[in-house]
Amino acid sequence: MNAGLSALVVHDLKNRLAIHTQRLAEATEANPALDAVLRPLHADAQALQRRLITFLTLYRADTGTLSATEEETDPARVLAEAARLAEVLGSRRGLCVEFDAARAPASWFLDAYLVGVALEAAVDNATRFAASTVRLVAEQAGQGGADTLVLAVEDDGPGPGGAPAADSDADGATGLGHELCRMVARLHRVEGRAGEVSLRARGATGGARFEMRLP
Amino acid sequence: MLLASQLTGLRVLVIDDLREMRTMLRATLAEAQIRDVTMVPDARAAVEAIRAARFNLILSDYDLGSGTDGQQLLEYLRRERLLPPGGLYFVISADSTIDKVASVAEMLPDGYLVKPVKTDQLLARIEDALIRQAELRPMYEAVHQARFEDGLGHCTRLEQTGSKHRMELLRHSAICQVALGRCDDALATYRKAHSVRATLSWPRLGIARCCLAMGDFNAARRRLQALLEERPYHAGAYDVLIELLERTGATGEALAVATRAAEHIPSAIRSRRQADLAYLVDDLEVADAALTKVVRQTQRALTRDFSHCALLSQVSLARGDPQRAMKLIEKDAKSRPTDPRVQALSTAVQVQAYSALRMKAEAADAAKALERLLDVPLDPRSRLLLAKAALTAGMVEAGLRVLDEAVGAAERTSSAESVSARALAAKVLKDADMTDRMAQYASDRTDAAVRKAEAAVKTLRGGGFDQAIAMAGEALPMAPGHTGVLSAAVEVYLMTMRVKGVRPELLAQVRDALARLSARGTLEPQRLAMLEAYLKRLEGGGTDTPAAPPVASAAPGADAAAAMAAEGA
Repeated sequence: MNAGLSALVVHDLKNRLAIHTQRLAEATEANPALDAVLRPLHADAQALQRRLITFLTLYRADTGTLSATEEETDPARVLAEAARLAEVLGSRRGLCVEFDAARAPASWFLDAYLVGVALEAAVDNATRFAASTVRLVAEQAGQGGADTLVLAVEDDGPGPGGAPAADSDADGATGLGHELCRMVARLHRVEGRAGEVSLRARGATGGARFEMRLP
Repeated sequence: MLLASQLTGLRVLVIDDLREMRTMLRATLAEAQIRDVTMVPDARAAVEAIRAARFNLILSDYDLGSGTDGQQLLEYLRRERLLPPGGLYFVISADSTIDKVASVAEMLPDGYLVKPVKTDQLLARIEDALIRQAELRPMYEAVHQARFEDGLGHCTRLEQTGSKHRMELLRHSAICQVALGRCDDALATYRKAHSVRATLSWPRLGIARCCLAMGDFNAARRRLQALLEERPYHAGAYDVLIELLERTGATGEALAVATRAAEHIPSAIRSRRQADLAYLVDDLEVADAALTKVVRQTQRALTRDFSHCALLSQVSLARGDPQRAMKLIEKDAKSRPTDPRVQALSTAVQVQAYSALRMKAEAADAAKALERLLDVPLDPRSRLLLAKAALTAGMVEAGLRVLDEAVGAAERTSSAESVSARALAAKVLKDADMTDRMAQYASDRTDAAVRKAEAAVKTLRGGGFDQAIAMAGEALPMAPGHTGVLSAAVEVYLMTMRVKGVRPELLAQVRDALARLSARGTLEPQRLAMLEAYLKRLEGGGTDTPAAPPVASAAPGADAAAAMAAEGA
């Protein structure tokens, strides 16, 4: 089967899954007694959706049809959406989610959809490794005289290259998420400067810090 | 932050061809306590709903199945003024179509959402849009009501108050400036926006448009090609590039671009553009295929237009198949027997078809009927088809009158319409063996000046210095503010003086032209600097400069400037 046809099938699956996810959400709300059964199913369906979106986004990047549509956007808003996902995912393991956008600029030119999808992948990762806390940060930084928006997702887990994910229920990492983030960052370019991502140890506090730096 | 009551009070219309998707969106809205939701499956039902009730928010899927898509629906609603100012229109798309949706340069929706739509995301977008609407309302209303001076004033005032919607204000400032005919100001505004964020496509398209309006075709073309290379779905860039190519007489190239646009953005509008150009250059097979596609695509669409079928019939006539032409047009004519526009166009086809079939009596009857229908209000291009039929029927005076009126109407519509109508008028005259009358429609005064300037450069290349100077001298007063004409004249004068010696009156003209080019800022800075440096050398008695290589191209300026650069001027 060629890649284009696979993408079409995945696209259709993603839309069908979205409908079922919505139905699960409605069923959960209508049947509080079944909450314990339905809620994890709903969460899994959402996780699957994110994976399919990641696959489709990477497919578009691969075929050269992915481009960033930059709009003036409030970075705190984009980060807040990712934080809400972190709360949902973290609640299963009793994680605390911290949010810091105090040093974020009022607006930045970015593709809110793509950056949102990338941050979801980062959040997904962080909530699997965190011991107790996931922290999301948006701030403006200078980089060789040019301004950069930094969107960071931190966890207090074992750090890069450390022990396996604390969330034993989670699927193993495929590396797709990080590849997606790298691709999305690179699509944001200004005068020869392209966005970039990094994943490094947090130093003294322990854990990992994922950073997306956008020009 | 908005008050909860502002959200719960919203009246929303959801348009999606899939029932399950509509239900899902309603559930998503319900999570945000938005419960006044109407759901419809297609564009036609949407228009009915919008005529019956005022919605604060419309959420339309991009892909609405067969017929009109979500973007076309938005364009229809804005054109028909069915959307109230302050009403929000969001396009929802699958991730695979977002580039196409977001690439539409004009008639931008208030927001885009990608499936699956999440409640948080939807709420955030609605809230952002409502806050922006509230803050910029006076400006939006002024532009909506075509009060462009007021709109410009609001933009300036809002920018001074430190609005965070700076780019939206710049975009609307430029829209107002263009509408007021202030291309220089618009260019400056677009450049300002471009300097804020070089990757945004609307300032880049705006700059290209201004270059085109100011006659700097080379710069406009380069910018458009670069934009299309990065954004192959940019419908607006295709449109402007096609206009540019048509204006410079490169209709074949315009067709190639239109074909590329139709491939990337498969819509009826793009295919129709391709068909119009193919018909102009007598590529009848391509015209036929494109129009057949358009007729099929718009059969049940809001954008259904009888002129598509009329042109397809016209193409069939040109391909020597009058029977097919009659068959095509009769079907539509029968379905709308009381519509005078339909009757006028079908009669125009009948006149030509009967003539081609040598059915003299029928042709004469149809011609009589056509005479009564010649003044039916139609779009300019359709009226040109009436003119063609009138000329075929021997109604020369009436045919020429309709032709002239159609071109005049197109000129009042837009420069792109004017260019297309002139080209079609020239073809009508050519087909009617009235080539002596073609010149007046082949171009307007500016285009004639550009051609004269190009000819001057060509003549210079052949060594006809005095003749080149005379031709440049004729071109300049025809289009005194035209960048291409100005730069070509400067180069003709400079090259001539280099070879034949300095002439004070030419030096004065060069100084004046360079000052104008410099003030307008439409010529590439590098090229302008070269010309200025060369002028300085001549002013300093530089006639002893070595002989320059011959000018290699008739394109005003480029190669002459390169030659000067090679000299180190």
